Amino acid sequence: MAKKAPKNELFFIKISDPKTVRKHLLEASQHVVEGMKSYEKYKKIKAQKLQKLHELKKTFEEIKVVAGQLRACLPTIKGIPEAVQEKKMPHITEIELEQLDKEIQKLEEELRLLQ
Amino acid sequence: MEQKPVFVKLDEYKTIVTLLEALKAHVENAKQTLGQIHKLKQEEDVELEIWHTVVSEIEKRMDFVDSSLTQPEELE
Repeated sequence: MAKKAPKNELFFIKISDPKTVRKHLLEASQHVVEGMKSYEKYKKIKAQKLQKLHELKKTFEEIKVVAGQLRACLPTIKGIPEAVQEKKMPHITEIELEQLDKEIQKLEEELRLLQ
Repeated sequence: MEQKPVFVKLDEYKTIVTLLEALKAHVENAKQTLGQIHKLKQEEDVELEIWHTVVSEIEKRMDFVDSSLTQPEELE
């Protein structure tokens, strides 16, 4: 004859200081809510920061355009090879960062020739 | 090597001055935006600190509750 599975036994644990335990639980819940509130604030700040970063990126792009126009207005000095003079940027086929690196190298070369 | 003076045509000079003004304005704008980003980053860090404190406080209280429930008094 198979043994019967024991019924779920009930255990009782005495809590020596229930008031303090309850107080700690309530305070912990309070801190959890504070944390959640802080997280909502953090989300808002992060969204604002991303917006500002986007604005900064746009400003840098505008600076790049105006600086290019300015360089185009200034006269070229003899001795600088044609290749170093500003050219219209080709349609983007390379990664943007690589393009910026190349532009930096061109500017450094121009500065070196000026010295 | 002696540097020779460079002359810029008057029409282009006006354009150059206008472009310089535009460039200055954009740079100023960029500086302001960077300042705002820096301030927002500091506010983010403040919130992160709050979370550290919150987690620490919750942990303390949970330790107490845990010890109360898992180390009960022995029954007589």
